[in-house]
Amino acid sequence: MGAVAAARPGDEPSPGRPSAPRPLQSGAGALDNAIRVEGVSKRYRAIDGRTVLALRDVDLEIRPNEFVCLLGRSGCGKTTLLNMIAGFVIPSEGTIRVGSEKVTAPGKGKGVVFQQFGLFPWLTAQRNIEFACQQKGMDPATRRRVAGELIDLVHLRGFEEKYPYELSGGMQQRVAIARTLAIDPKVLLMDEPFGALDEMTRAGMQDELLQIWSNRRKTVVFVTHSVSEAVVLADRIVVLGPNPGHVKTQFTVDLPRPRDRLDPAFLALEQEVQGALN
Amino acid sequence: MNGLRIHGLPDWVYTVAGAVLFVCGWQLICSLHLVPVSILPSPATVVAALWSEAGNGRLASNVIASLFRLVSGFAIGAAVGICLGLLAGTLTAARAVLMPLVELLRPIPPLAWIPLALIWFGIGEPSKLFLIALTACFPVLVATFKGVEQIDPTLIRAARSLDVPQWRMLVKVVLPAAMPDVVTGLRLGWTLGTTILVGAEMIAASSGLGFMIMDGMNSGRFDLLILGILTLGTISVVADGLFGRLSRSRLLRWHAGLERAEA
Amino acid sequence: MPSTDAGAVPAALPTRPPRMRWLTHPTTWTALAGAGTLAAILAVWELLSRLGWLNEFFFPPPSLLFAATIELIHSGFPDGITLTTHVLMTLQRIVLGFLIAAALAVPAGIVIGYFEILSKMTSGIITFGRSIAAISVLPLFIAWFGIGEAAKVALIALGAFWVIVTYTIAGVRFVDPLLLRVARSLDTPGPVIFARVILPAALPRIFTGLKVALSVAFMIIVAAEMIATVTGLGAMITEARTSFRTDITMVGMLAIGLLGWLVSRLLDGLEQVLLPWRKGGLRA
Repeated sequence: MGAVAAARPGDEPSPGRPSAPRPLQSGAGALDNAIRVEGVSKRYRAIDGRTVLALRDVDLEIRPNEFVCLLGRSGCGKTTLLNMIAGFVIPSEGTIRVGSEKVTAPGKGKGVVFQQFGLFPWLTAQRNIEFACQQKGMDPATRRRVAGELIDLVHLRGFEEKYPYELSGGMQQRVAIARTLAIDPKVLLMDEPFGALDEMTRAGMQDELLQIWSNRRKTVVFVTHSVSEAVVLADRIVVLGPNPGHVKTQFTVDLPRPRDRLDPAFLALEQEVQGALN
Repeated sequence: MNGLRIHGLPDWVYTVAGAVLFVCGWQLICSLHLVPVSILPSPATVVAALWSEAGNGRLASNVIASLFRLVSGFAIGAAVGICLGLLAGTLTAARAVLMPLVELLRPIPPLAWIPLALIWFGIGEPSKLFLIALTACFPVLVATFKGVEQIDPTLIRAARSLDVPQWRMLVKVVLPAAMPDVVTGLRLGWTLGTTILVGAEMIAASSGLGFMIMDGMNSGRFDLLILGILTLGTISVVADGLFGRLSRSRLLRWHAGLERAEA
Repeated sequence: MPSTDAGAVPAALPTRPPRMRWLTHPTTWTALAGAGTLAAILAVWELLSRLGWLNEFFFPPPSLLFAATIELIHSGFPDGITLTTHVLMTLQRIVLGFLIAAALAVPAGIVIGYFEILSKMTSGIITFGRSIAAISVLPLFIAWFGIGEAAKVALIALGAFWVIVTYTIAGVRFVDPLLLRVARSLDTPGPVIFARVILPAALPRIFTGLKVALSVAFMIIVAAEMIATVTGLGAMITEARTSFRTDITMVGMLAIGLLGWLVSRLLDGLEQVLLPWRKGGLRA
């Protein structure tokens, strides 16, 4: 399953070959959590006064409940793109739509998970999650219940009364994910969320994330610079190149989940993607 | 940053605007006689005093007297502080003897030393120099010590493997590596030194800005009093600015690069 | 960053049963060594004094200092005013001045910190105010308030105010932008961000400001009490000097140092209770 054949004229595109994504079917339901990036560029002024073009003419369509990885080296604008989808940064040109709404500000169902976790240090794990619930207007009893469910979802039962400083990096990130899920977001935007964790924790977190995602399907945009992480997680990998940031190529990953990191098809795809990155 | 954002004008415009507003408010309070003139001289009166004192040379002589004490006392205290700090940081024996003593004496506020200094040295210049040197010494000592303690051991090992002799090691490796902490200590030492200078001059001196302030009070010349306070404040701000320049200067710029690399 | 093995037990010492482990703990050793050194210095001092090498007037030996302490506790100096009275007077002035300063500086700092234009406009004035040595204003306050308690308390309040306001402004202005982004992504309305993100995030810095202000207050009170008062530790050591009681001067100095140290430890303990989560350390 999912084997990669050598390219030969007349061959059908096999899973994992670079391919253009299938276009969004019009009329498909749940378009509310699709993301459309149209002709987006970002220019900003550097400290020395020069104008830097961070992203040039990016077009991207992300289907509902699709797991997309933005892959690239540092400086290719992948975080900038994510921040624009999230609404923290305004594009210089072009528009971004989440669902039917144009993105002009953060919030409104655009859940974000940050690399440095961003937990409120003065709140316990439970209360961090309840904070998000409160902004959704839940009453205290509902808050407690929802937060409790999420604590169980991320396997942190027993640690809900701990402060962030008492939790390991992996645990903190799980709280952050739980907190973001508490608002039942339309889309989940993750900016190298496992970058601050060590190798082993990272692998565990990737599996957990997929597990959570299979439980609560969302559209996910996941920024990473790790090829293997992208191949493990994504339905589709968007490879970005630098100077200025732009979409180089895309890969559809049809390997069934859970994915075996040692499977030859997996490794072959990894190599291909790595090649596209260089 | 958060809250209301204002873009456009550079920062210093606002700072100057704020200061101008403050002075105008002060002048207004005086002109409207909201506060008796005998208690609060107006900015105009203070400026007039500035003019006259600068003219007859008294301001200059007081400033010079104060600065002389401050600079010489600070130089002595800083030098002693750095030497002892280096010693305590590198030799365990020195540390065992010095640090308990320092920890015991450090909480004593500088001003509390004044009576003792007067007993030991009398009312003349030596007592003031002693006080300033002592006051400056402690923060510099502690900062140097901490700076030396926190030096990356790899640096020392690298120097040793290059066969750097002890003395050179101290001056060319240890001291530069501890520099940022040392400068922080120097800054604090200067600030405390200024405080003790004023205190000492107010209590037992016949020249200097502290004396000028006391004299202003005794002779009812509040404009001179305020002039003294403001002159002192200005000197402190300038000195602090210079120290800020120092820490950002070529002397220490390479440290920032190090921190960024480690981040 | 490489860390030093501060926690390692020296290999040369024999292992002991867990109950006794504290005996070989490095911190205990450091404390004991420190105490030992001090004891040695005191012993040498005493000896030199007995041998006549150190003048008793300029360097009263520990025995005399001890006797002076007893005297201060029982009969007091100047006559009738005991050490306890002095300590209470000094503490009273400090606490009052400090509370007044905090009550004014914290709200002011929060408002100024929140509105960028205000912080820009006031930055010059605040830097200048902080640079003015509070004692230099003492004569002015005496002229305004007379030689009673008001001048001293006002002086402490003045010195503490600038410090607290500076730290408060910084605490409010420099909240970790990440936390603000998190709040915005959760659709948190502005006022809620202020009350439930900015203020808690600013607390550690505000607390640091309070601690620094307290040590500044201790410095100022000594000066304030040197002029025109008989009670209070600062007054005590001034009186002692004019009466040529060097022993009392020294005891007084040590008492002030000890008091300052105790108060600051108290604040540290308070911080542990109020802000237990600070241990992790807030970014920036």
